[in-house]
Amino acid sequence: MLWPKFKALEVLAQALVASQLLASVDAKSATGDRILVVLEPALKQGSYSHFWQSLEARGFKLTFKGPKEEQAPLTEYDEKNFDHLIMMAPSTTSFSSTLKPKNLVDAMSSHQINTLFVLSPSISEAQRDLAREFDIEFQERDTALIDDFHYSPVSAKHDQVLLNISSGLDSEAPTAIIPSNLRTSLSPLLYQGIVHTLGQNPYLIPVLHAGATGFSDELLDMDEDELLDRKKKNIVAGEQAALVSALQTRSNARVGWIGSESMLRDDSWAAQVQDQDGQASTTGNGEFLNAFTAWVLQETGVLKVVHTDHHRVNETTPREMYRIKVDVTYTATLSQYTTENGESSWKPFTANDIQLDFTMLDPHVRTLLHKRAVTADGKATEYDVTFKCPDRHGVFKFVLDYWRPGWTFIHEQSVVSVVPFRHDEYPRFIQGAWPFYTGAFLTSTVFLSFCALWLYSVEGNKKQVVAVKTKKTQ
Amino acid sequence: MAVTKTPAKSTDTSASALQSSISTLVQNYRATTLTRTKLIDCFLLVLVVSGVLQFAYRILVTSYPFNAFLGSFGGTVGQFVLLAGLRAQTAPDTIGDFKGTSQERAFAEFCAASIVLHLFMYNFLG
Repeated sequence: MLWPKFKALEVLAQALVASQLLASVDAKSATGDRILVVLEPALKQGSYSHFWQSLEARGFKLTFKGPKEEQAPLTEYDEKNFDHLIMMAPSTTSFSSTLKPKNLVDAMSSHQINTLFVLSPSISEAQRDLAREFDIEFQERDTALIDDFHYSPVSAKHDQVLLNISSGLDSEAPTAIIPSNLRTSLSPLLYQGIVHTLGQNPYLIPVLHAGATGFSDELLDMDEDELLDRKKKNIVAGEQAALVSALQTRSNARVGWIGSESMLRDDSWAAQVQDQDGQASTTGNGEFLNAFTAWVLQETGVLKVVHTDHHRVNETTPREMYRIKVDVTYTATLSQYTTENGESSWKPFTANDIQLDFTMLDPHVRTLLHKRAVTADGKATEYDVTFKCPDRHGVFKFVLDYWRPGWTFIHEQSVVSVVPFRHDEYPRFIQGAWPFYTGAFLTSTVFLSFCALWLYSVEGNKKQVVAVKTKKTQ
Repeated sequence: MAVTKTPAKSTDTSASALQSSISTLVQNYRATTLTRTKLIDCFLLVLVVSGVLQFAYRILVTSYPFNAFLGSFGGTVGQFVLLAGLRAQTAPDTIGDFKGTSQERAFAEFCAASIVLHLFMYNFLG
């Protein structure tokens, strides 16, 4: 009798989720439109107006705070005060209680607050420590990316690097983060900032690294002797030298790191620059940052499971129990949230690598889900697969696991029991058993005819017995 | 017995001796066995043949509905045992061991036991 109550709760929860989605329909982000921007005093808000305008044009509401300013917490009573956080406080050493690293990590992991860290060569130890929590190691303070072959002549130390997206884009960077039209863009990125390296954390997604000739080095002024005497350190260069990286937590919060605060400035947003040979071009920083922040702020690459269902073949309603060896159909409806041409909406999600596991401790069945159709409202795609229940009874789970970098992680499961045949479900009167049936009937016939003949022969037998007895006595 | 003990002179003589001994055996059986005992022996033979055939089928072809095999083969063997029991209680040469039981009682017991056996057999048959 508990089951209908659970169903009712489930319907209520779905209605609540639906109403939340409706409420945020005007924002471009799937999760919300409130951004807290933490801007340290050394950085002027006016220097990044293109960036703010771009965010506001995408429907976000920005709140600016200083890193030490006391303010409302990110989450209160388990409700979010902000949906996203942009940390532009590279050199800040201490934060208000709201922005303490522990609270930030909690906000990301438990409350799905997306965070963008913008850093610079004047990075503080506090920021480096926080990045280490995610297995990202920033180079030391006052080091920067230097490229002696691709730079803007404005910079004497060659630290204003002009980077082609095609040469800097990591081979693992998913198209959900950097769309294909941007990958072939010829506009160089103007990057003046620090380098980091990525550790083994499997949730990290490398996005942008230095070109083949780029490396990380100190920015301090040194005379020639000092340079020669300097103890040679391991040089981080090329593909190792990560510039922009991303991470998606298990709870689907997205985190981005950009090692260059100046990348966001108005004078690099879409600026005219000359390269070392004097060739002029327009920087692609704006395009790149729009794409990257669109991913971090959950405007693209967001997946959701609209509906899952399972039933026996030739039935329509799900069961709590399936018998062993019956054919079961599992259906999943998936939808993706994308922003195309300024329009954000839920659209059908098409992929050919979605798998279903039918699991009891181990997956007993692992099979590919096949695309069946786009739903009637045109917002989702239905996938289904029909498979035979394993010949093993117990508590099984339908597990839909879809973890791809750049996409929302999907883990959907529903529990069913697989039961053996009921006593009246076994096949009867099997053809191969006819000899046994005949044998049994024969035995019965033998018994009945024996009884009849025995009783019939009673008279004669008595005489014979008497005869034998008399014979013996004689 | 005497025939097998004498050293065989040739296969012909031993074969004819065996034949004559068998015919003597059959004649004696016909002459001295009661009708009812003969009746029992007859049905015992039928049950043996049926059981052997079922077992051969199970070995050579299939034992798939194993419950059906168990039911019919067990029933056949059980019926054989019960019938053999009845023979022991009614045949004149062994009747001495069962002095207390009359033929009627032995038959009634046989019937009751057989009915129970058949109930079990059909239950197993599926």
